[in-house]
Amino acid sequence: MSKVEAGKFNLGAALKGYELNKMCHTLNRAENRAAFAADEAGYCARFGLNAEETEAVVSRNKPMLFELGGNMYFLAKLDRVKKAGAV
Amino acid sequence: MARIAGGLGTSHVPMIGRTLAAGKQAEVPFAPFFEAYAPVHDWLGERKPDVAIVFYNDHGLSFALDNMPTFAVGAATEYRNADEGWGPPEPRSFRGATELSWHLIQSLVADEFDVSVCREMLFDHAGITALDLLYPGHDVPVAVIPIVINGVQPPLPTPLRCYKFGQAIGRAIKSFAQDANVLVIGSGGLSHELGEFGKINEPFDRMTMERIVSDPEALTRYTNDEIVDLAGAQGLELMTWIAMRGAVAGQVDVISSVYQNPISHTGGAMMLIEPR
Repeated sequence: MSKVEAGKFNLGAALKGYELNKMCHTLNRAENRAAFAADEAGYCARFGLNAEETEAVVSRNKPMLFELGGNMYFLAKLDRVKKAGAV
Repeated sequence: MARIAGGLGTSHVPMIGRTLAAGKQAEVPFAPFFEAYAPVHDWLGERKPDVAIVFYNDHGLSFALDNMPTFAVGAATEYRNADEGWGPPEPRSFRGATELSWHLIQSLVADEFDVSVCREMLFDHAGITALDLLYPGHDVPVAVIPIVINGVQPPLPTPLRCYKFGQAIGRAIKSFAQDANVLVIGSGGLSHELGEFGKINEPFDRMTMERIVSDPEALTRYTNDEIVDLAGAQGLELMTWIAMRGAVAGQVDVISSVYQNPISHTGGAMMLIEPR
C-alpha cells in the first residue's frame, strides 16, 4: 500500500479506514469515551476493527493509524480520550 | 434588499476559544491577534450586520464518513453546540435564518451547486469561535447560517470550486428580496497540520492574505495537493477564506488584518474586508 499523506486522496486509505474512523467519531460522547477507556480492545471489537487496527488504536501508533486509513479529524477524538477514567 | 456588509477570515484553533472563555486575551503570547479585533468590534457597532453566513469545515462532529457532503448548507431554526471530545460544553444555541437559508439553497441548486440541505446540524468550534471573537461574552446578536465545506476526507473541493461556490452565494444574497445585512465569514487556517508543528508556512500565509485582497483568483490556481505540500493538510481550511472572498466580490478595503505565528500549532490570522 502506498504511503498515506494526510490531506491527499489515497485509495487504500479510503477503502480501509471506515470502521476505524467510525469508532473514533463515537468518542465525541462522554459515555462512549468511558466505555472505550474501560475496555479499549473490546470497544474496537464492537465496531468490527481487526487485530491490526485494534493494536494501532490501543498503542496510539499514529503512522500505523494513518496507514490504516485513520483520518486526523477523527483520530483527534482518540487523542482527547484520557488513558484511564476518561470523561 | 439584502446586502453584503463585509467578509471576515479568521483562525478558529481551539486555543483561541479557550483563551476567550478564560478572559485571558491580554495575557497570551498571541495577544496581538485579539487586539486586531478592536477595529472589527467598532465596525460591527457601525454596520450592525443581522445575519452571519459562516463557511467552515466540520471537525468530525456533525458529519462522519457514512455521509460526507462536499458542501452543506444549514436550514435549521437553531444550531446547537455539542461535545467534540473534550467534555460536554456549556449548552449554546444560535438562531438560524431559515428564509435566507432556503433562498440560498434554491439559488445555489439553480446555479448548479447541488448542496446538501441540513435541517439539523451540530455547530462546531470552527463556527462558534468565529462568532465569539466577533461578539465576546456569548451574546451573539446575529442570526447564523452555517455552511460546511468538506475539509476532512479527500477528495475535497478545489480552490476554484470553492471560489465559484462563494460567488454563487454572493449572487444569491444580493437577489434575496427581504432586508438583510449579511456578514460572510470564512473560519479556518491558515497553514497547519494536526500533529505536525513544523507545517506553519509564514511566507505562504502572508502571500495568501495579500492575494485574498488583491488577486483572489491567483489562489484558485493551486491544486489541493499543492496547498497540502505548502501549508499542511489542515492548511486546506484556506478554502473557507476563498469561499468568503468569492461572496464578497470586487474591490475591497481592509478594515483590520493580523498575522500571528504561531497560535497553538497554526499560522494564526484574521482579516476583515468591506466591499468598496
